[in-house]
Amino acid sequence: MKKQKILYSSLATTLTVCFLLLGFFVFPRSYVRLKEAGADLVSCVKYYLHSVFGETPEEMPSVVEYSDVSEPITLLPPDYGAFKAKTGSFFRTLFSKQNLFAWLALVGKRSVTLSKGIAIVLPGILCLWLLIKRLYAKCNNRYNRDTLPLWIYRRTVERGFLAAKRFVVGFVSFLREHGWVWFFWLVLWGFHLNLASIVVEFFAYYLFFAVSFEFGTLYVQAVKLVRDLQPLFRFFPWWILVFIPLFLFKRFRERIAFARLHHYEARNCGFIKELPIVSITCGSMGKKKTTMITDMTLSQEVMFRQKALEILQKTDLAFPNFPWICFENELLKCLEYGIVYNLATIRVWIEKKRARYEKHRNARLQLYGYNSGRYGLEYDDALSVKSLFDALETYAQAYFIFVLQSSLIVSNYSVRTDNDVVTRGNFPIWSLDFFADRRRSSRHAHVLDFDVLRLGKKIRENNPNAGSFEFGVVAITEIGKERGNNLELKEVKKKNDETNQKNDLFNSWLKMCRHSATVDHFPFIKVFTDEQRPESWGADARDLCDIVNIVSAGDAKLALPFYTIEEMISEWAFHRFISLYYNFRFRRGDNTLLVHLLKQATAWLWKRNVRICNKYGYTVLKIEKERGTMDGKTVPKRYYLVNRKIYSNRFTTDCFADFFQDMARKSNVGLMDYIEYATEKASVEELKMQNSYFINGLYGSNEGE
Amino acid sequence: MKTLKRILAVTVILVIAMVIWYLVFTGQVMNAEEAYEEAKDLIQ
Repeated sequence: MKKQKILYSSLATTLTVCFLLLGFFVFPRSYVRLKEAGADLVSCVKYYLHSVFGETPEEMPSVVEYSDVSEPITLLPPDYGAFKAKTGSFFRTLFSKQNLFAWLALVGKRSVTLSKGIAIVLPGILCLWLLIKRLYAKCNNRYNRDTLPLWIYRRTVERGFLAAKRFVVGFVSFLREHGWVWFFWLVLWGFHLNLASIVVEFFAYYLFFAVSFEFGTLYVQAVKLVRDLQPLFRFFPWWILVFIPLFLFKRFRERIAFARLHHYEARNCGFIKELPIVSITCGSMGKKKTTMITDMTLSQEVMFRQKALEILQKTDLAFPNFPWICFENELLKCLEYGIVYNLATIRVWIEKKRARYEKHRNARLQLYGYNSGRYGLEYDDALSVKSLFDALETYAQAYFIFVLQSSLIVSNYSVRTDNDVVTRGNFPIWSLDFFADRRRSSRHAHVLDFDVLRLGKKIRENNPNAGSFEFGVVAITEIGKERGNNLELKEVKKKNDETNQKNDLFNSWLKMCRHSATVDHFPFIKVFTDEQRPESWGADARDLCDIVNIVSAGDAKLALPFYTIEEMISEWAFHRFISLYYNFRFRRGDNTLLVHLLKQATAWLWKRNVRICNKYGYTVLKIEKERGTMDGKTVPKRYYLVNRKIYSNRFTTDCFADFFQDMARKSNVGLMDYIEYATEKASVEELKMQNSYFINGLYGSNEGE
Repeated sequence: MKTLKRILAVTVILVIAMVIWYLVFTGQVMNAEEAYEEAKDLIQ
């Protein structure tokens, strides 16, 4: 480790010396130019000061003249008139027939050269292909053995490449640890490549232009800028420079993609806001209904945090001089000691605070030194007069919802959330972006104990959780199977001693749930449910909902623009390689160099494609929104399922799989153990093996006769 | 649809490449003509 550090330090020192020598031998002009730019800046500062203080300067500053150091460029003439003439001449040539024919002749000539090249190389490639095919036609069972060329390749190239990669990665992390080295190199190259001169010239010209408004000098500046950029284009070869536009292109299209994804998320939020407190999402199996309610649940949790923050901001401004930070700190202490743990206890806590203040009138102790005499204890919003303690109650409840570090989701299946709170000991900030790049710590939804939603009889007697639920996002999958409908509950009686769907008053809770969850007139509660058919849930509860019918799930789309060619290449490579590879695997059990290289390249392309599809892919669900009364009036809508948000291990589609797994494990029988039909026609014995009502009925009636 | 999109994308790239080639070629022609004129002036 120590040796490695010494090696990295020596390399960094050597590179620094090389860079310094480069400045001395290759880029000496840049430093002379920097000196000139400095002189320009001084003259411009003088010009600026003279102009600002009323004296009209006699001479123009040197910034409007060409540099003596920078080399002129033939493409850009020194004066604007010549540039205009040259541009005119360029366009005349561009649209001239003669020029076009000359170019077409050149294209023809190059095409002939290319065709000749292909004609020469093609037979060689064909021969090579036939040779490889012949070599690979031999079958063997040498499992996982490397051929000699592959063995040599692995021992030399791969080992060397991996060692080099490890060294470079280590060196880069060493540079990250010593950021100043990196910074020094950047500054050094900034000077070498004239970038420092460009910055100095910019400020010089800015000062000159701010007082003179000489538009005629703009052309000179543009030419000077291009001349100053010459070292960059001359020093680096084109194949290195090509990475600059590629990098900019990558950033540009990623920005577009993220803007699109955020736009879709905003549209989803708009759709969720339109829904009433309770909604049911319906669709046949595989229509992504649980996916959709999970997606809505995640968005709603984020919206609750945002709404809580909005309430905090508004309440803060109602009493702008109140020391809110002290109030927050005391509330956090109360949370820590368990004095406050829900919205109801917050109300009690504030009530005590109010009583204490009214008794002692000690602002220093009860109101953290707030000068109530000067700033007042009331706020008039033109609708009503609110006291400071009303505002404190609202603020405390909103802060409680905002700062709560557990998930706000309560569900009958697990949902993963990864919202992160960032704090420096003052006001916390939530990182709520679903499309951010960094990996974040996970939390999971709370287990839904249905007793907390029952106002009547409970399944568990004296359930300690009963009555505790106030606010949050409730997600219930397969609600019909839990609650049943009127037909299924025909035999169930309200007067039964056992808890059932008719005497647990769950529907009453649904109708009144917003009462416990309202803070500053906003209900912090939403219930998302799903079922295959809306009729599966009893009408009394269903009538409260909006029904969201999933009509169809569209094809996967990509928010990243200009990706068609890359996708085409990776798909082509994948399909070509896979057919070749499995043909090879059918024949041989060993590993060969050619297949190894092709597999590495295809795997790289495939992984890249998968990552991009996962990062920027999305699906549009076509949905129809209908009232719970099912009056047949549907409104067509769209809902966007973004892969990055909903498919990053948020939930499992087989959320009740453990039940079936447990049954299957106990049965000791597998698919292979089921008896197969002997022929195309089932025998009587085989029919009887089906344990079918229909077949048993047929044979039962016959036997009876 | 996917195939059509791909054909269109390849065509657009080829057209852009040809246009760039034509622009560069025109620039080279102009520079060559200028150099020729300059050389002619010098000889005269």
